[in-house]
Amino acid sequence: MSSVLVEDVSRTFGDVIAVNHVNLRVERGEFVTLLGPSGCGKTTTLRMVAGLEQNTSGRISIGDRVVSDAEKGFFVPPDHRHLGMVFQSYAIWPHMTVFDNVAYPLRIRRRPKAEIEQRVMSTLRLVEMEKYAQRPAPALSGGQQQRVAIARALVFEPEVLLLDEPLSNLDARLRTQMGDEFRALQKRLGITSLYVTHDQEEAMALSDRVVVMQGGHILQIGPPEEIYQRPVSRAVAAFFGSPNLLDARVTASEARGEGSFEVTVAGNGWQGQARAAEKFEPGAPVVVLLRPENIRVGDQAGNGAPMSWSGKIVQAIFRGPRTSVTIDSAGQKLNVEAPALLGARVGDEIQVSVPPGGAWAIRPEAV
Amino acid sequence: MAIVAGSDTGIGGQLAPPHYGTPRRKAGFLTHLNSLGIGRNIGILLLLAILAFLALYPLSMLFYGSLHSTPPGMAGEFNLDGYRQILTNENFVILLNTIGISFAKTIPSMALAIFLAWICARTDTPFRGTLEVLITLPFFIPPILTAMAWGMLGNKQVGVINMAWQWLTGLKDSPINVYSYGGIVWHMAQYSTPFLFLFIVDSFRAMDPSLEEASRMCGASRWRTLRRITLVLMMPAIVAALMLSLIRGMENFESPLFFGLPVGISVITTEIYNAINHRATPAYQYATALAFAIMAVMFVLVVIQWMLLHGRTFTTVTGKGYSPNIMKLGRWRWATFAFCILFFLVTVVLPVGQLAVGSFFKFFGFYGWDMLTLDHYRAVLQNTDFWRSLTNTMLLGLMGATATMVLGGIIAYVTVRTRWRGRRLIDALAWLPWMMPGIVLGVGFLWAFAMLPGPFPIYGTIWALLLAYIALGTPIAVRVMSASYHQLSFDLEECSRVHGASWWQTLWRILIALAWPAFAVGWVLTFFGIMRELSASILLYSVGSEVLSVTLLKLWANGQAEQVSVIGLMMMFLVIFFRWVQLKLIKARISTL
Repeated sequence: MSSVLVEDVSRTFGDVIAVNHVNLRVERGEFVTLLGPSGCGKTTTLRMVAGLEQNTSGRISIGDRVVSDAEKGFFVPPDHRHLGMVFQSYAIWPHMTVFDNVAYPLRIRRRPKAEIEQRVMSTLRLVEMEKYAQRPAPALSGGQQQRVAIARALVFEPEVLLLDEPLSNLDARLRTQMGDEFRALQKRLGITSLYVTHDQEEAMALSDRVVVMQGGHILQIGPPEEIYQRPVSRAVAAFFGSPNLLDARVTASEARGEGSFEVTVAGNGWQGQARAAEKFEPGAPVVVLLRPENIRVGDQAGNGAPMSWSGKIVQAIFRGPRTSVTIDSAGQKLNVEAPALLGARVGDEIQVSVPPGGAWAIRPEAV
Repeated sequence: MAIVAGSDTGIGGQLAPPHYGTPRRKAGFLTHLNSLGIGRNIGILLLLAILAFLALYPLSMLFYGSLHSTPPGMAGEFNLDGYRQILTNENFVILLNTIGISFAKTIPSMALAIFLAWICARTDTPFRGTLEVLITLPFFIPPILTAMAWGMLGNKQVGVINMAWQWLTGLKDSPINVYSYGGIVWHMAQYSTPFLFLFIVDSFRAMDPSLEEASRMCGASRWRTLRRITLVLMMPAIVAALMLSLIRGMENFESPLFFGLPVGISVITTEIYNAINHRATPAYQYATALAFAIMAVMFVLVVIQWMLLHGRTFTTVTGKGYSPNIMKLGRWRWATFAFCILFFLVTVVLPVGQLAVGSFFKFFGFYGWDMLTLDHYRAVLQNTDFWRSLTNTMLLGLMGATATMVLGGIIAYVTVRTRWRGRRLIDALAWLPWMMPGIVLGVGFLWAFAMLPGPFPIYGTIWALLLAYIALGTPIAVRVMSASYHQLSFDLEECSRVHGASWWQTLWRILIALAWPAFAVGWVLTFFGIMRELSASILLYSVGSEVLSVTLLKLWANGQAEQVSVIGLMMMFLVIFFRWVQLKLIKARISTL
């Protein structure tokens, strides 16, 4: 297994810049996910690593080998990059059996017959498909095709495994199951993986690190928890769920060590403590991020909490495990994820608060 | 676990300097060429050169010849006499004939085809699958065979139909005469009906049943739904088919040749043929100018047709669609069944039966027990001309169909599956022969081969025919192959590339492996096309390179209808065999994909 290094890579299609000066490093054995809305350049980035697209600038290396350098006009075609790839459509060749599909990369490499037999079967065992080896490929369900696609991508011990939205064609229940299974397999074998998805939950559940992309740029790279709780910008914050983003001003700021700061912020009729990644000057405008599930409601809210609001419930949607509540507090709308057993109804007055550490302050973007 | 053990990539750490070394598998020479784009450019140029020779060269020679005062290969001067000679009153009549006959056959054929398609696709008529095969069979029979059979069946003096009429009624008159406008239209309609049927039956089948169910729920009757919803929704397909049928009607050669020329009814194609082959001194300039003029007309029609179709011309293999509404006809389903059978009897059984009967009697028209003979079979089998033309046709069929499909497959690949520069030009060039009727292309190649410089003695050889057949077949081959490529997702190819296969390996092991059934179906179609081709062959053959259709025509002109029947019967069996193979292939493809 190897690392992947993407240095200052861009890709333009005519006037359209699909990928704009992207820098990324995937360590050996790491699982990195490219996450973003459709058209953000994540698939193009993956395809450039695969060699299916040629980067128009920058350099890509796999392990210690440069595979593409636009400035030097150097390009290694996909078949010489030694990568495994799982496609969104699985791309299971319909004219072959399961065995033939998985054996294909080995046959192309002219491996001895006995070795092919042994390796294909052990890889099929890995994805629990050994019983289906002689099945014609079209006679498989979606989940089975997915397993075959993974087996085919792993059978020749590739340097890196690339996955292009492999779970998006499965139904919700199977998607979670296949995702968890794949993550377990990836950890066990230590496969360097680059994964593309538009599904935030999938990205967070599977990855060591998540790369959030938008408009061809990387917005943030970090472990799932960091991306979710401590986004660097409004755009990254807004990408996950429906967060509350409140305008406020800094009144005080102090360092907490390790590059973390505690700021005191005041908004329209409220004030409190928030964490931040930088030192803000007093008076500086900030956006305060409150995750709906971090806000406490009613009896839990506790009187005298540093950051609290009271307002009227304008909407309450029962979602099974929880209830999504929208509160109007003096014109300020707040989305709150409340327990399912919340007794309150639309029109009720309610008290909400944010516990210490539940708020995150970021710099408002220049418009 | 084998998979973890294989990390043999070396250190791969951050400190290792980047190196541009050799990949773990040596990139071949071709790969290097490919990565530089040189191999690709050579390929594109080669393809362009081939297509330019097959389409552009005869076209420009056609124009050259229309201005040249003497036959090909002779010194002469350039003038506009050819075009001046076109503008006569006779030619105005010929133009009206051409257009009129084409309309006269298209309209009733369309009505019949819609009715038959509706029966096969949307009713519970018994044995619909078999009926569909039977109804479409006439399309695959070389028109020259049915023309000769109908020439015997509908002969005013000794035709079987008239004799049967006289025997039944006791009258002395002959109601049927195929040597007339009606005969030409009748013969053409036998081809255009199954052609139109093939063209529209899938759009009948692929219709979303909920569109019709919605109409029924709104209170419309079954008949009203058929008229106001089903047929209106099919209008684009029907209009496109009409347009195509009109063009093909104007390009038709066999029907007016057999039934029009003997009684002085001329259309443009037969007029071109006549000017070259039947005048004391062949009027090359006039014929070439006429060919060029008709091609200009065709160009306009093809552009209109293309705009109507948006480039979608053939529906060859159907995917899984909706299961359409089936109308329960009750007792009437046997009436529709009988109607389909009647169509098959009239268009296939009657002419084939005539050929069979004709081959066993001493003289055509005299049917008595004492006239039975096998002499004609003996004569045909001892006829060296027959054997030579059979060999030529088979050879040309095998070579031509293979070459055409390979060329078509490559062109379709470049235009459908790559983003290479020059692919649009290739697509356009491959389309060019589509607007040239066989006879026009024949004239063009006549000039083209005669004007070819010294070391290429193609003129008058079998290669002349081969090149013309390839040019004529390429548009269809391209359509068939691109339809098949369109069904294959790009992922299938890219997945192969990423997993270590080179461009060539991918082409061979994935694309060709998946597209070969379409290739085979197209191959059979092209083979049919070559076997039936007459209009270009009649101009380009010479002694030694006759093909079956030419030999048949010569025998017919010599009055040897009996030997014609023998050869025609043999060709019929060949056609039915190939059609059977083709249907097998289509079925196999549909069940695997």
